[in-house]
Amino acid sequence: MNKSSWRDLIKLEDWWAIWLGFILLGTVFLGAVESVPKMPGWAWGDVAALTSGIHFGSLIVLAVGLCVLFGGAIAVMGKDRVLSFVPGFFVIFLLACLTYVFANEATVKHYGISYAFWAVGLGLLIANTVGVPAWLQPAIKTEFYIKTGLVIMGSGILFGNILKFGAYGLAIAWGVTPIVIIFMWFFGTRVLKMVNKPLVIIIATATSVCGVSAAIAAAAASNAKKEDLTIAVGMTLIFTVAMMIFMPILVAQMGLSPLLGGAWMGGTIDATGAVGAAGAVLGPEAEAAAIIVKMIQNILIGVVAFCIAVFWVTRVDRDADNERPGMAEVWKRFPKFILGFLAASLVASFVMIPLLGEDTVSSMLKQTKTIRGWLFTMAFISIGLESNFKAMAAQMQGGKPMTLYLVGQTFNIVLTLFIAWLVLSGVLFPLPPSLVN
Amino acid sequence: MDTKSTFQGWLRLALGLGVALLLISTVLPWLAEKGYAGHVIQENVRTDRDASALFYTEDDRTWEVLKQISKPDE
Repeated sequence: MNKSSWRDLIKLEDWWAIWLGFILLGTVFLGAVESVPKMPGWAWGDVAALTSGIHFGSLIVLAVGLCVLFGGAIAVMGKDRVLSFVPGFFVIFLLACLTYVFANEATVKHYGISYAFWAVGLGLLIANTVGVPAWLQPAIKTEFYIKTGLVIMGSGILFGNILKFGAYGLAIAWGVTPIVIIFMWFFGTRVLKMVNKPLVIIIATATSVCGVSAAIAAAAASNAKKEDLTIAVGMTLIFTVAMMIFMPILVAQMGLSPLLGGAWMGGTIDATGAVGAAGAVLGPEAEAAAIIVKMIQNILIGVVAFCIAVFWVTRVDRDADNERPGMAEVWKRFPKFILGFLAASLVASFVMIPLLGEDTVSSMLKQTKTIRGWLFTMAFISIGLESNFKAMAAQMQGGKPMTLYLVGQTFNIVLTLFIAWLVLSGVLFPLPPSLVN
Repeated sequence: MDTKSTFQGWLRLALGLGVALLLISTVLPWLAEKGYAGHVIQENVRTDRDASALFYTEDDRTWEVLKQISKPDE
């Protein structure tokens, strides 16, 4: 590393995302933070559950803690003034609280309408009605919140869990995913001739891996615009709810076994909560198969983000006339936070679990996912605040993103059914007793 | 922004929030109760299931299923 590279460690947002991610993970894994505050669940007829369930003191401590960490990083990077960041940060945190009020209502949860929807919606609503005041702008650090959240998310990707469903789940979840991504990439860029390549890869990754989470990772790895992510997330959330409702009907109509039907839904419905709900309607066996296949697919997210980042640096961002960039150039342009994302996963899988045991790590991950949830919520609010309807309409390119999603999802559904049938029908491979019972 | 457009902006914001609240308080529960939202939503309401988890670490059921699968190996 030359002198400027060493300086990058404290001057680049990517590296700070890693440092902050590991600091936040460390507070939980080292036992300094045992419980991360979250907004309570409530039902429309029981507003008292909401008001009595909010722990204002803990939320203030969380907000101050995050503000100190992000403000400190901004101060060291020296690009923005910290004092102008602070007031806006607390307003964005407040909007994140409001997002969770909407998202944690019981009926909303039953419909599977996640916090991402409400956060983007709230941001968009504010930006396109009263507008974003100048003093709020310095706190809109979309990429910084996303990248730090992704590093924390890496800790939840436990490789040991892949073994739970063995080669069967791997074949369904990992066999189909790369094929669908490559198919959608070529369909989007060659057939639809979409010029917005980040949007193509975000939609392809969201469709084939795990919806919103994958869209965030792909957007960060391909340096996409806010509007691209908003469009991809919007389409994914709408179709996730639709598929949660209609896929079980399709499985029943086709007379598929619960195991096959569950695995099919796990490989195609984008979000974990919707996958579990759709599977549960068909029985516990379908639910378990659906959840496990989806989980194995979730674990692919780090590898996919890494591959997208490398592909982007070496192929997409390279001028057609130029030679392939050397390793130094690739390293310079590579989104470094992805290394933190992968490192967090490896540390959790191969250091924390052997040291502390799976149960302890699982309960710790419930705290880290809450921190990540806050960061992603603030990121989605920031995305909404930075997006406007006119720019989004321009990105729709005459409906091409929707065509890409529909064609890609149809291909995904057909291919996943075929592979799941090959693997789980017992025609080609004998089923292990643990799956038969 | 002049006073008129500022007022219109706040009015639109209030309208947007009002639509969201109407959706949560009236439309979605009514659709679920009548069965128009589909069998899965009805089941989610009946079992009070949270279907909003985006990633597997956000879903408590995933951990329960993982534990159940781990048992025979122990």
